[in-house]
Amino acid sequence: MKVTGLRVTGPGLIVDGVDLEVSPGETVGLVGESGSGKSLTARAMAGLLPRGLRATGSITLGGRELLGAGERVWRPVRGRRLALLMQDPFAMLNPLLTAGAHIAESARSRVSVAERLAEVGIDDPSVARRHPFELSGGMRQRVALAAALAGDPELLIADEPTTALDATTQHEILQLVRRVQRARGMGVLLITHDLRVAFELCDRVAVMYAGRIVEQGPAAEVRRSPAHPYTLRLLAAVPTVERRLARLEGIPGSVPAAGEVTGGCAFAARCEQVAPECTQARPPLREASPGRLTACLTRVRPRAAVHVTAAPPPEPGPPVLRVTGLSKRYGGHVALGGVSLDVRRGETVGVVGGSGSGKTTLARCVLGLAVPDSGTVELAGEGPRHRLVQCVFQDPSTSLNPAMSVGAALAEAAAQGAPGPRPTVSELLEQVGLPAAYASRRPSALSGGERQRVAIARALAVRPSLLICDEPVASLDVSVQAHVLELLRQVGTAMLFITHDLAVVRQMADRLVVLSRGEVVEAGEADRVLDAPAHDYTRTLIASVPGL
Amino acid sequence: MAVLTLLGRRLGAAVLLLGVLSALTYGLLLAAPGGPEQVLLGGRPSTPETRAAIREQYHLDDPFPVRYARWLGDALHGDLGTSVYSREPVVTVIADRLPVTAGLAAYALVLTVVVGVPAGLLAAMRRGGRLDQGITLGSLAALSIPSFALSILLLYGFAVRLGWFPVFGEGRTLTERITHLTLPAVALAAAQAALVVRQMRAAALDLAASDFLTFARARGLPRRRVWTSYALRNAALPVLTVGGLLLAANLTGSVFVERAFGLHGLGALLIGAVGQKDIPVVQALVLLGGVIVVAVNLLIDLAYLVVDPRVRKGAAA
Repeated sequence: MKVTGLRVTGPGLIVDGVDLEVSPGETVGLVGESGSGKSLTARAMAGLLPRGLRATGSITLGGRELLGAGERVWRPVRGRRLALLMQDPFAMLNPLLTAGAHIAESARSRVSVAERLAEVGIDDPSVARRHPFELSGGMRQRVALAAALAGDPELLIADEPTTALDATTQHEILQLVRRVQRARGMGVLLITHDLRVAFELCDRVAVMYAGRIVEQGPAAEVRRSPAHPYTLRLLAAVPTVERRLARLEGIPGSVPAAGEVTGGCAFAARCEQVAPECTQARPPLREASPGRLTACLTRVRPRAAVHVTAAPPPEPGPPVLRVTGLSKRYGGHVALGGVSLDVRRGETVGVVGGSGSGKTTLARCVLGLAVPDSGTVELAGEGPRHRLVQCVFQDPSTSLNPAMSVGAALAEAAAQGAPGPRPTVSELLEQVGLPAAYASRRPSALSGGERQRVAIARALAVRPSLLICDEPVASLDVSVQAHVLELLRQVGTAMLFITHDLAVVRQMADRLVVLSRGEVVEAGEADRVLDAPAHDYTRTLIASVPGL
Repeated sequence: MAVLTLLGRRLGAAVLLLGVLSALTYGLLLAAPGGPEQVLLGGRPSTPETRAAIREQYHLDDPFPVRYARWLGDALHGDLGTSVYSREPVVTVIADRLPVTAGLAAYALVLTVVVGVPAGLLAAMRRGGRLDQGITLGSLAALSIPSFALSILLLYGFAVRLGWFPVFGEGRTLTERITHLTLPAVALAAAQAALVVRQMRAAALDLAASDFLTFARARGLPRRRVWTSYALRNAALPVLTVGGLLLAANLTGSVFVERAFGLHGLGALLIGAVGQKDIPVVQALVLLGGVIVVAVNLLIDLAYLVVDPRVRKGAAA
C-alpha cells in the first residue's frame, strides 16, 4: 500500500500531506501523540473516515487507486486485502454475536473457526460459543484479530491495538501480532502513541506530529540517533523501567492544530534549536541519509546530559496510612484477600498489578468509597476522611465537572478543608504550574495534561496527608506524562501510587507493593523489587515492559 | 436453570402486583357514593327489603377480607359479577368488545413498527440531509396532533371525501374488519410511530459511531449483514421496550379513537360504564388493564432473554 500526499480535512485541516508506504512482509510503525492525525490516517487508508471528514491525495493498493472510490470498490478490498484492527477491544465486537460468529462471518475461505482461534493463541474451542462480554480484554482483542484476519488480508492496519490492555496482556498481543505477521508474510501498519511499542515490533518507524510526518527510518536507527528534534524530545520523555531518573523531562507547550502551522515547521514553537528559517517555509521531508527521512532543516544536536543530582529520599516519618488484613469480595469474586501495607509521611508507595489484581478496590477502600468485608484502614490525623485522603483519578476529562469553571471547582474543594487558613484558587493553580488566569476557564478549554494538573490541585485543596493516584498518567501523552509525574514528585505529600506501568512506578515510588489477584505477592524498596524481583509474577511484569 | 429462577421471580412479582391491584379495584365498590347496595341496584328505587336482599345476595355483611376473598375466588373462576346496566355477566360483555380493541391495538402496533423502525433508521443514515429533516419534522407533527383530531381529519379526507374507507362500525368478515380498522389504526399509530422514529434514530446514531459497526465494515461484510445483524439487532433492544409499552397503552387507551370512529370496543365500553356507574364492569376493565400491562412487561422480559445474550447469560451469573 502506498499513500501519497494524504490530506484529511474536516472543520479544519487534520492530516497535512502524509506519504507512507507499507510493503508485503514489512511492519511499519506510525507513531504520534494524540492530535497528530495518526488514527485518521489509518481510517482514511481503510476508506472509513468518520462522517464529515474528507480525504484528498492518493491511496493505492497494489497499484490501484482507492481514494475517492465508491463503496462498491472498497467492500471487496476490506477484509480480503486490508484489515483494520481498532483500539478498544471492549467496543469492537458486536455484543449480540458470539466470538465464533464474528470469525465465521468474516471468513472468505474454508478454514474452521477453531483453526482461526488457534492461530491467535486460543486453544479452547469453547471460546467460539461465548459472547464478547464473557471474555477478558485480551481475549476479545485476540478474537477481533482472528476476525480481522479471517479474510486473509495482505495488509493489517492495527490502530493502538494494545493501549486499552494491561502490560502483560499488551506484551502478549504484540508478540502475537508479530508471530502472525511473520507466519503469513503480510504487511502491518502499527499505529501507536508509544515509541517503545513501535521500536519493539517495527522494521520501519514514521513519526507524526500535527498532521504530518516529521521523521521516517529504520526503527533501530531512529532509536539510536533521532533525526528530528521532536523524536529526540519524545524519546527523552519516555520513562524507563531500568533506573530512576533524577529529572523527568517533558516537552513544553502542546501540539498545535495542523491548520495553524502550515507555513513552517510544526514543531518550531517547542523546539530548542529553532532557527529563523524554520518558521518561514514548511521544511520538506528530505533524505538525511539513505533510508532516513527528516523534516528538520538542520542536524539534530544531541542534548546535553542533564546533571541533576537526585535529591536524597526524605527520611520517612510516622505512618499516615496503615492497612491491615483488608479483604473485599464481590459475589464469589475475591477482589482483595487480606492486603496489608503502610505509607509513611513524605514517601510514595507504588501499587502495581495487572487488571483484576485489586488495585482499584484497594484505593476505593482507603478512600471510603467501598466498605471492606474485613480488615482495617487507619489514617493518621483528625477529622472526616475526605480531609485526610484525596484521589487523583485516571481520566481528567471525566473526573472534572464540565459545567464548572476551574476556579469554582478548586474553591469548592478548598471549602471542604479543615477550618483555618485555606489555600486560595491562585495559590493552588500556582502549585501545579498553571497561570492564575485559568481559574475562569472550563475543563473543555484545557488540554489533557492541564486538566490533570487541575485535578491534582483539586485533590491538594484540602491539604490531605495522603494522596492516592490511580493511574494518573495512563490517559496522557508521553510528553505531558513527564510534566505531570515531575509535578507529583515535587508535591511532597505522602502518596499511594497505583499503576500498571512499571516504568512510571520506577520513576515515582520509594517502596513498591505488587498485587496479584487480591494478594500482595511481593513488597519492598522499589529499586530492590525492580532490580531483583523475588516473585515469578513480578518477573513476568518486568519482562513485558517494552524496552527502549 | 438460572433463567427459570429469573422467570419465577418476575412471575412472583407480577402476581403480587395484580393482588394489590385487585384489592384496590374491589375497594372501588365500597368507595362508591350511596354505599354498595345503591350501586348494585343501579339507581332503581329501593325499599329496605330489596336492600336487605342485595346485602344477603352479595354477602355485604361479611367482614371485608372474607368478601374480598370470595370476590377474588369468583374472579379467578371467570365470574366478575353482573353488569348493573345490561344484567349480563361482565365477562360476556367484555368478551363481546375485546376483539375489536385487540384487533385495533395489534393493527396499530404493526403500523407503528413497520413505519417507525425503517423511518428512524433511514433518518439516522441520512443524518442532517433532506430526508432526515423531513422525517424528523413529520414525526414532530405526528406527535403534536391529538389522536381524536387526527381521527376527524382522516374521516373527513379518506372516508367522506374520497370514500375509500367506511365511516364507522367494525365490519363482520376479516377483510371488512381490516378496512374498517385501517383509519382508526392509523390515527392511533401516528403519534406512537413518531415516538419509535425518534427512539430508533437516536439508537441508530449511537450505533453508527460505534467501533463494532466500523470494525464490521472494515472486515468488508456485506451491507445487508452490517445493517441487519449489527445495526438493526442492537437498535432493536430499546425499541422493544417501547413497543411493548405501546401495545399495553393501545389495549387500554384507545378511548378517543374508538369514540371518533364509532367502534364498539373496550374504550367505548369503559366510557359507558363510568357514565352509568356500572361498577362491576369498571372493576373488570381496571383489572383487565392491569393484567395486560403486567403480562406485556413479562413478555418484554422474555423477549430480552431471547434477543440479548447479556441478559440471558447474566441471569446465570
